[in-house]
Amino acid sequence: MKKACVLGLVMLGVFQLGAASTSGLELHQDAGTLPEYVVKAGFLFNFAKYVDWPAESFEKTDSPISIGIVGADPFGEDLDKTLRNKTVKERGFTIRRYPESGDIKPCHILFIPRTENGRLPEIFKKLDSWAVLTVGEDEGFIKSGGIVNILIEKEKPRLEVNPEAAEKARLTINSKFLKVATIVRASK
Amino acid sequence: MLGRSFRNASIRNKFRVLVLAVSILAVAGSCGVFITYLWFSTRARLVQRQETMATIVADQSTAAVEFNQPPQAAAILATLKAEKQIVVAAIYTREGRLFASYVRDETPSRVLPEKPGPEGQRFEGGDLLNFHPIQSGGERIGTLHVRSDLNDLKERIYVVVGTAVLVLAGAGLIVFMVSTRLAGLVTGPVLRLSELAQGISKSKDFSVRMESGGQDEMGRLIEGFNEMLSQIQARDGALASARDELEKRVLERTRELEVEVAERKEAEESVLERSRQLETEVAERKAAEERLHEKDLRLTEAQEIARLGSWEWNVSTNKITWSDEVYRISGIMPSKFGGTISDFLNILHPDDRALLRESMDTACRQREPLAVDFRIIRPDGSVRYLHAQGKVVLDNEGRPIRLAATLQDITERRLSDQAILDLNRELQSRMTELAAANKELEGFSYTVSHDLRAPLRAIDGYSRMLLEDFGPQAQGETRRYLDVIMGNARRMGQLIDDLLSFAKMGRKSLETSRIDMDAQVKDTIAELKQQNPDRELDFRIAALPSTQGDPAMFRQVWTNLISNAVKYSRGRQPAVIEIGAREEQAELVYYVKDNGVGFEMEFAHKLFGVFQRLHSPKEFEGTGVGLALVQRIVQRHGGRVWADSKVGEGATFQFALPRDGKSASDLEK
Repeated sequence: MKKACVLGLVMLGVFQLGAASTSGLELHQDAGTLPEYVVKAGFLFNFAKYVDWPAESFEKTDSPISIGIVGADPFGEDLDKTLRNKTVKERGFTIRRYPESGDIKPCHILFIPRTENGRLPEIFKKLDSWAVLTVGEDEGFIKSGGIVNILIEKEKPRLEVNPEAAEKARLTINSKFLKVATIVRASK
Repeated sequence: MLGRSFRNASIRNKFRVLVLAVSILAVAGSCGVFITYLWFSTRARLVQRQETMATIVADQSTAAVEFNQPPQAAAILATLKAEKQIVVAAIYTREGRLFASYVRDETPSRVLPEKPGPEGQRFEGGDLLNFHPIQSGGERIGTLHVRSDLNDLKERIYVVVGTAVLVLAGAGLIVFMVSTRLAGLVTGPVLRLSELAQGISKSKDFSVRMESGGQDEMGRLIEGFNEMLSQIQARDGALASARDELEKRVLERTRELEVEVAERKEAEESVLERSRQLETEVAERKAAEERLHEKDLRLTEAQEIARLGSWEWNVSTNKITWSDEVYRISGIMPSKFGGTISDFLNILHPDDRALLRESMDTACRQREPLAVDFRIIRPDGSVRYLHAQGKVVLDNEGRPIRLAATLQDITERRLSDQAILDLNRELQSRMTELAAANKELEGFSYTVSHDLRAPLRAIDGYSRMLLEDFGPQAQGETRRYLDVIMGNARRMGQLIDDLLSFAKMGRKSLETSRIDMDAQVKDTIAELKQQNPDRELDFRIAALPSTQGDPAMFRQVWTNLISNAVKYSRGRQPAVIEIGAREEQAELVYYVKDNGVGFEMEFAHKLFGVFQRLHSPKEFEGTGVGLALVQRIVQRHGGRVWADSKVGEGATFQFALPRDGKSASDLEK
């Protein structure tokens, strides 16, 4: 309960209040000078560390983790640069770009830019029961059925996660990840 | 101070203090070991616990770091609140930037490092510091920093130390009480023994004994004490008898000493006698020494007067000794002279050192007297010539032991000798030059005379031819002129002949033999009488000693002198000419005396010069060579010639020759 209270305070960005409080908490702001999509590319890589996919979603133990991007790619070169030569649990990465929702193939992480907001229902429908970690970047993504949402508020990143949606997609999310993200439930 | 008061304390107290000290040391030692062990083990546990905590927190904070969520990271760090000893915790990003931190509020003074330090745990400023890596997926994403204080550890140690102090105090009290009880057991017999000994030393009663107290060291001590008392009793008796014996022996020894004293007195007297004799001897020796000293002074004085020094070379020690005069001659202060042979040689001129050294060695080797001249250079730089003369003194076996010598400054003599030598040399060269000049002059006049005759003969010859051809016509003036020409030509011929014979005289070598002067004079007179038949001539001839010389030349001398006498006594009736001789100590003097016109003595020095005449040819004919020739001949024979006269009273010409053939040939050489 106390933790939730603290997190709430932080979410409001009143970290200085926290520093002054008797709890002795002190917060240090990230310089946050990196471009938005460089940060987001790093987050996509980090998700792979904190999420476990069902074994059948990989052909082999060292099959790469595939990251898909729907619609117009906002990353440009940044995602390729971030993932180059990177591995997680001995798996490398491959990037797939799906210009239309109909092109989407089974992958492990699917980034849905805010430009696709209008097509979210058909995308989620296409995914069906695949074990895919959907990642969005706009308010209401979780409510629409997404699993993880990256928001930038006052130049600081904030994460939202829907554990139930993850569970539905047969994904296991590390508790450490859950601790740093805001738990949001989809509205029924 | 403490040591002295302890030494003087009673045995009882010493015992107590010792027991107490040992017990306290033992308890304190074990407490110390225990506390030290506790300190290190607790600290090691603290280190391990901190590392464990750091590992857990680092793992928990990976997501917060990776997703850039500082509040979450701070919340995780805040969980460390449960660990009382952790005062500071912080997370740094991969780049070393501070990401999140936690500081315990009771310790606001703790400072957060701005950047992570070297990895690992260490103690610093009384705290335990830890920098622990934060890793995710095998990749380092940041650093966790934890700082623990040791207050908890220190508190626990204080409690243990306090307990130990209480235990020590209690143990000390118990030990003190127990040792008081036990001390009596050990010290009781000792105290009794000490009281007894004090009593005995006061009463001098050695018959008292102490009852034995068992088989331990104390019992043996009492037994030994009793035994000692018995021995002292026995020795007391022996001491008394020994004292009597000693007195007897002292008396005996005293008598012996008296005898010895008497003997010593006698000996002293004889020593006194001996010393009186010695005094007399010393006085005599002193007198002898004084005489010697006196002699020495005389010698020095004599050397000073004679400017003759003496020196000595000791062959075996190689030492040189100088008399005072030598120091004066050499100009060296006695303190500056080292006394070795090389010191002596050093004052010599470098060119003469080897000479003196060699002369000295030769004198010693050949046992012959030393006589050598050398130069020295005095300290003022002046060079002096010295003459050393000495003799070698031999020992009994004929080996040289020393060289005694004199030294004389001969510089002045040397310099005057040199001057004379120089003068002689100069004179010699002058004479040589003169002789050469004379020779040259003679040669010249001979040549001239010879060459003049030819034209003269021509003049005479042609005059004569003129007279023959024009004899009858040549009358009066012409005839007279021709006569004058011919007469002068003859005169000149005569002059040249004389000159030639004079020059020849200088060049001709002497052919000496015995000369019969009487015979020569007689021949000359006969000749002159024949030439002057109309003159009344009275010759008075004394006996003339014969002599050594060139006969032809003396023939000339007599001819010239006697013909002169005849010539200048013309007009005397009769002309008296005396010829004689006298023998003097070193020479023979011959003379020719006439009663002719004579001459003025003031012109006497001109008589013997060539062409020097006192009369005109009109008065007395002649060339002025005759007397010069005489002088020349006499001088070549080592003699001299001179003349005395008064005008109108005649003249005496004399010549002197050295006696006994000390003739010109010797002189000429």
